[in-house]
Amino acid sequence: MDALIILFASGILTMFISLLKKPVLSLITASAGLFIAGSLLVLNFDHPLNFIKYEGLIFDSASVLFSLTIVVFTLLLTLSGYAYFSKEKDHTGDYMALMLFSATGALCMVSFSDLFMFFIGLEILSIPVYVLAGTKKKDLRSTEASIKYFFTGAFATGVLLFGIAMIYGATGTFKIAEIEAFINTNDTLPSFLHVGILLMLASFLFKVGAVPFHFWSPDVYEGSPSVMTGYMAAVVKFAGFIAFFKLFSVAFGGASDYWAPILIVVAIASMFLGNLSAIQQTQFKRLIAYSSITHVGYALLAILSFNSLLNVQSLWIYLFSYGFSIVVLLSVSMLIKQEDDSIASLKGLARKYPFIGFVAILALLSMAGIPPLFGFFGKYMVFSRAFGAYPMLVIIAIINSGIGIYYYLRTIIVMLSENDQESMIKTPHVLHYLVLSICAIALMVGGFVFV
Amino acid sequence: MDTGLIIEKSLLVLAVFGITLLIATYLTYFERKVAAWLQDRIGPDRAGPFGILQPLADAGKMFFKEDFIPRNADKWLFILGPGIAMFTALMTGAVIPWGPNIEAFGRSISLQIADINIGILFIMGVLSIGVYGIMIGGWASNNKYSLFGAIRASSQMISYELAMGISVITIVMMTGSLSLRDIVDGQHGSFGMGWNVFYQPVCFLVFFITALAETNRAPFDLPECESELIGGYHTEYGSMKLGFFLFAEYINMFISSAVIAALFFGGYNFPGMDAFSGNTLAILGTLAFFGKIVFFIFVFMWIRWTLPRFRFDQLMHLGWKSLIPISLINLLITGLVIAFNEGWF
Amino acid sequence: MSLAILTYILGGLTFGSALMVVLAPHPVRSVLYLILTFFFISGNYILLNAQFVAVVNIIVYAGAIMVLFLFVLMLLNLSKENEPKTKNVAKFAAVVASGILAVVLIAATKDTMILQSGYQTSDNAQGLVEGLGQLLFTKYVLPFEISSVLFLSAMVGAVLLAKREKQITNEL
Repeated sequence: MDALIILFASGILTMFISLLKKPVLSLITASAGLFIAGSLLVLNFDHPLNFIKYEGLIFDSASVLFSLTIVVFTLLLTLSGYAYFSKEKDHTGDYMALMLFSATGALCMVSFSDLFMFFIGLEILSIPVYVLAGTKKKDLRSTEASIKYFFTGAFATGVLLFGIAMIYGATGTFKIAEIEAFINTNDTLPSFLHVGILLMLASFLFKVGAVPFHFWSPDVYEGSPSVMTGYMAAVVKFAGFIAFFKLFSVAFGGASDYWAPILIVVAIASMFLGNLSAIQQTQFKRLIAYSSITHVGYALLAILSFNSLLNVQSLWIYLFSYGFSIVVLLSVSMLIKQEDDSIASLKGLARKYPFIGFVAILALLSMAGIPPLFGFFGKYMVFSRAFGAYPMLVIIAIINSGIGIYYYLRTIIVMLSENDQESMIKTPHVLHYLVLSICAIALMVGGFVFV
Repeated sequence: MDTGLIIEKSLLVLAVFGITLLIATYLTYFERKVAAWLQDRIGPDRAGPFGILQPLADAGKMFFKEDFIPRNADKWLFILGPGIAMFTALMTGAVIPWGPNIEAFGRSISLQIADINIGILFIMGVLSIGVYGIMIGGWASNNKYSLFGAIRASSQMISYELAMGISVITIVMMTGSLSLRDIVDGQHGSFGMGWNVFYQPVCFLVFFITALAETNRAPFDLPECESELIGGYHTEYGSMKLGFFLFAEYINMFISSAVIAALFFGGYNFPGMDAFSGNTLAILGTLAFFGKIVFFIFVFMWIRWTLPRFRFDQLMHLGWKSLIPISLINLLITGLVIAFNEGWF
Repeated sequence: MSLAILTYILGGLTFGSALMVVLAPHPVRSVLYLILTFFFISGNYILLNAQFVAVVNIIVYAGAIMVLFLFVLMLLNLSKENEPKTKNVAKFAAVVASGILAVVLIAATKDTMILQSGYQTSDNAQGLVEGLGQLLFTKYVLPFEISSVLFLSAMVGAVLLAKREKQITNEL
């Protein structure tokens, strides 16, 4: 709770600091706020006395862990995005403040115990992202991304709200613990509950970008500034999946016979469609977008096979490792000079800047799931836990991991190859090196520390 | 339900309706006389003694003029526009307490049609939809001047509604109630002079300026300013439909004056009112209230014939950059003082 | 009993005007029907004795948001001729999808359970300002305060997107 307040307060402070038109001061305020919030969360961790329940929010050890993850990713992205943010001196603070507000919403979204708190959290998370996606005002693609994300997102929010209304009508409560009890105690569930679950499912699949609801994500990922693409893929997706887990695996777990078959189909479709489309991509950010659709498919396995907050750890490790890779890849994508960020412009990255190339390759390999890296552990834990209930699905997922290795390796080869033309890579900011080193350490040792 | 109550309320509705229309009719005469006086002219003096029958002659003229609808206009919306303007103008009278209770036929009759507990919000709500009459009428005319008038009206109303709402909230904080009856009764003070204007002069000023803007009166009459937009939103209107628009403006002026009198000038409270009681008090209170209303109507007209019109960007600057911050700061200070008085510190 | 009849009439009117929002040929008329729908919804709130919500619904939605809607639509000069053409396949898919959704929604009403019998309309003060204020500032103070983060970020975002950049003004 104190972390939530600190985040919001530092957001407001950042806006006032930005009146001075000194981007560095805004950066210091914002990252100090994030750092203090993170430290408070670390202090709260494993401290049962502090598990305070508020109306609509509950800060147990799981939500503290999730909040910490969000704060870490936001901090990393703020640091690596500084070079982009500071291009417009007047608005640096505003961008950072909006990111902090959005993180506040993400914190609500992972620690809610009430459907309305979840909804408010989701809105606070989304609205700054809609805005920040369109901050490259001179770039039409950025405007397109913002508009597209906003319209489709608003529509999905409407569907979600409709679903919440249905669930309230069926159970008479907003509290997820009471909804869970209602589902587990009643033998025949009212049809309105089913309709509500269906509508919420549709809008969740939209928010995390699973296949049939994935159309927005490549365009939005491509058009948005790289920082925001990273934020969407790392933080928004993380918060979305945790909320997804809390609602479906836990609260609606008793009715899983009803929604699990839908999710199985969606998971398989996401994996195949994401992978097969990713192979054909020539644009770096589109590649990441499609590969993230595939990763949504893997993460859906976790939603399917878990049923209590106790085994959420493997989902967390999976998303945590994925987030680090995303931060690295999008930080690299910020370095591309060209307007359209074709993969070919990454040529010679590893030769010109060996350290950055090394970390980028680490990130790609971790995404592909190569053993000693963090990503492997995440995938392994999700797959092994899901194997008992859905062996066929896990086999399909492993086949898809194999397909994925193809385009990750292809990108790595481009990075390693000799560049005979003018380099498309900008000189990295010192903060890039900082962020990339943190991520490199996390990717290399994370698997051994957290598992 | 009590039949006596139904009869009483129906009579009251009819009375308020009739009085509002009558006053609005004679406000046209009054306006021309005031204008004449301020410009050192005589004004209308042909119809009847002192020209007192002039409004009736005007109304007759309005009725018998040709009622036409432009070919390219949206027919239904063109008719609907003036209707909405008139309807919303007349609705606000329902929640205004016109005077203290009257004792008659063995019952206590309240001189307020409906004492709903959100009275002041009701007025804000009706005010906020009042702009639709102008917008629909202006758009349906299919004329660029009308459209400009409509757009100006809507942006002006929305901008000034905020400051107005905030100053109303300040008054609500002073009273602790949204009911207009409670707000008026709360201004009784020690001898009928505990008027809010003495405690909240800034708030009154903001409210008065926004009321001028909301009624589209000069110096804020940009939606219909004849030097730029011919007739503004009612360029294409004629006959009684035009009459409705003009009428609605006068009714709005009357109602705004009533709201100002009720919110800031003690409504039917007057100095020395404790010496009276019963029906004498009721009649005197009502007269005092109407006296205040007439005074504010006069101020409205006085301003119209003395001040030049704002430019549109000046209007927006005044609304967003002066009135809203001022009313917000005033609200904050009021809140602090109230908290201090209640011993929160 | 008369209250029940009133509920049905209001419900029917709400439904009818909401339907007209979709069916109206011109966008401006759609917006006007939407305003009408908000009024009927406010009527429903009043039947539930939620006067404050009813009037706030009118002030905020009908009085402010819809005015801006109309404002934009009037400037856009939309008409049937320059409307983008939709493919027949898309139309067909839309009809099928919404038809299925309608079937699901209607079918869901077949086993509606009544969890609470009837609303307490006459003597509870929850919908009135005092009750609402008490709830908002005691039990639900956290969601209430947190929603201010939402409004602040929406405001900052709107200003950020809409504000004209300095370079452009210098050129003019």
